[in-house]
Amino acid sequence: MSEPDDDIDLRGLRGARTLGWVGLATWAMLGIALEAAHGLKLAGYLDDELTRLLLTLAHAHGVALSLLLVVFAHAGAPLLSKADAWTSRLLTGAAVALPLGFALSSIAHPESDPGIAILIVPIAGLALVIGLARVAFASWRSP
Amino acid sequence: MRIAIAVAIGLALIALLGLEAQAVSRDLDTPRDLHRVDFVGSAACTRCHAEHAASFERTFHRTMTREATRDTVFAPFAGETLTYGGFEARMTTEAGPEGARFVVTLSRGEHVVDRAIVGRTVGSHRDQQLLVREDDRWVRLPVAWDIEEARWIHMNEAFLTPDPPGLDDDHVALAEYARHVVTWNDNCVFCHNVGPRPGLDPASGRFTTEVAELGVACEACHGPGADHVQANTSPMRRYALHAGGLHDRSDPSIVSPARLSPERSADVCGRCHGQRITDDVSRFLTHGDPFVPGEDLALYSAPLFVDTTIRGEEVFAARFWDDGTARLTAYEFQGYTQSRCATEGALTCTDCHGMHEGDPRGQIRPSVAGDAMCTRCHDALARDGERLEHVSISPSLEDEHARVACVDCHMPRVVYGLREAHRSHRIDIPRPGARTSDRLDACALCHLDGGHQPDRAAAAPIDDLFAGDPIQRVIVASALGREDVAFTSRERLTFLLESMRDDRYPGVRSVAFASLRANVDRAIGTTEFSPTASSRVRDAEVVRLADALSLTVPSPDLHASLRARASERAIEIGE
Repeated sequence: MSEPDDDIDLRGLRGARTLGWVGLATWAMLGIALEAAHGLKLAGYLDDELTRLLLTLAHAHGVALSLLLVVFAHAGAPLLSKADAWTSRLLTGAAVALPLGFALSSIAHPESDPGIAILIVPIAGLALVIGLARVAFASWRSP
Repeated sequence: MRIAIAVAIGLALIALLGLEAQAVSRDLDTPRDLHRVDFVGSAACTRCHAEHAASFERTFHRTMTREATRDTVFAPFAGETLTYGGFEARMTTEAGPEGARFVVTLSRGEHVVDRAIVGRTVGSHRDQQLLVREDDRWVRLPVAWDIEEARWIHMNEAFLTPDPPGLDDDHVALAEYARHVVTWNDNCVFCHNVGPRPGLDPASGRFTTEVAELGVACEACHGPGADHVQANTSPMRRYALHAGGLHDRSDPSIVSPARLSPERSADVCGRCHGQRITDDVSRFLTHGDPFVPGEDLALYSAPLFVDTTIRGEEVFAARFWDDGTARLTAYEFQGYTQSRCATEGALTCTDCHGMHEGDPRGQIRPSVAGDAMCTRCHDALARDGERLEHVSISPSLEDEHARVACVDCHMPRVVYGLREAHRSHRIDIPRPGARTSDRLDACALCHLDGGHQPDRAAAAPIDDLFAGDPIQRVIVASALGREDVAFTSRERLTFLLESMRDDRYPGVRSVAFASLRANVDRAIGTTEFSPTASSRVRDAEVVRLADALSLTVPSPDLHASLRARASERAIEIGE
């Protein structure tokens, strides 16, 4: 068993891993709640197509990005040095904020658009892409 | 260095957002001339306003005019026939290149007079009328489908004109049979569609009619929407409006009747629910009605009133009671403008009627059903004691009048349209007692025996069923359909049977028949009675019905003297 590299951003690694598993559990629970809403034919949910879409997007992105964090903690973070700690924070923040943006924008939205919280989504999306690009670059550089 | 780049990018983004916000703000402050804007159709509106589209989709407005398809045609077209005046109309379905074709074949004896293929339908609530294409125009057929009663009717039954000569000999002239065959392009097109342009060429008399959308759709009330759709592809603009909604900021690229003044809002409805006249008929027939929602309707046309003249003649007087109240439907706007609630208050059509809510029949807002709308202003009358004092009824009569609503007295059913009596939209105060108008007062519509009249020697309102003009007869025949009028059930049914047999107007007989069915539909079972049948056939069926109801068949002489006084004028209904 090799010693951990002193230059690895262990704090970012642990944060990503923890938030990944917590997020996975949380967003999976939302999935069950949505299935229950379908099963119980809850009018408030079924009648509002945009709310359904936004909550479905929140669930799907939440689960997918939480998985991404878990994978990142095991296969991505070890590639990053302490100097690249902000990349971990960017990815972790984006993975949390993006599905949250979808979920929050489903609350009290206007007829034709998501609520104002939807503004979080493109910003988080941009952060996610930058973070992924940084990890990809680190992977490229790594021996 | 990295921080500097990030700050620079951030500042650039903020600057871009600021510029966009400024542009949006300028755009929202720029008024639009909707005359120059194109229509886009309701499908484009539905993309963003799905809930509003769905709520309007339920209404009879939306399905006013449609292409004739299996989904839109209500009648069976399975070989049914309708005979009238020696003609037989036979309704069949055949296969066409684009699906089922609905065919009406008119024949007299062995001779086929006409064979028409139905292309469009008009109406989806009470009657469904049928349009056929003839060269450059669409023409309404003389037969229609009664949706509620699921039977074919001849259009003569829906209008207040007397039986044509030859009816009792089963030989009505074709011109009389087709009396209410009208051209759609210069008539129905204006109010039953979005953005109508009749396209009449004055030189050739030919039409090149176009409509933006069949039926009454979003843009009929909200104005043409191309600019609105284009402008709101910008999310910044949309969110500015969503936020602005909190501060009552509206979008100038579209009209929201809810944000208009009461007068301008009523104009939107009045365009169709108030028959009008214009000085520039040829412009209307060529280019269409220039009015767009939000404008003053009076810029282009004036509502018809009892004293409206054409070349010095009051040609529309028969459409009004002599106190100026409209006696036909599609004059609701006139009634509204004659009401103190509008002239001294701030009432508008959409206070009571919601285009996106309520029962499609009447579209009354659930929140103002019953007396709720009236008591918003006349709040004292919500209290029982005050209410009784208001109607000057003694406490001993309290129970009798407990179910009387504000509109029963102030918007009585004295208006005729589509074989029914409707509420007047002139909100006024009933003056029971000495009759000063040819119009029955609200009290008389229940007290048909005249029991409420101080002068017991005065003619009873029921006399109008025999001695009145066609609309007076219709109004009484309709009132007799209610159980709470001042006659026994047997008396009411006898009056109705007499009207069904002896009235010279099929329209009056039709309303009397509907009132009879409202009372005893189950008791009479299937009946062959037809308001447009010959007197011989009607007589026989009335005898059968009287027998089924254990009633004595009324003698034709019983009210002959009253009938002799009846006015037999035809009431033109705005075609």
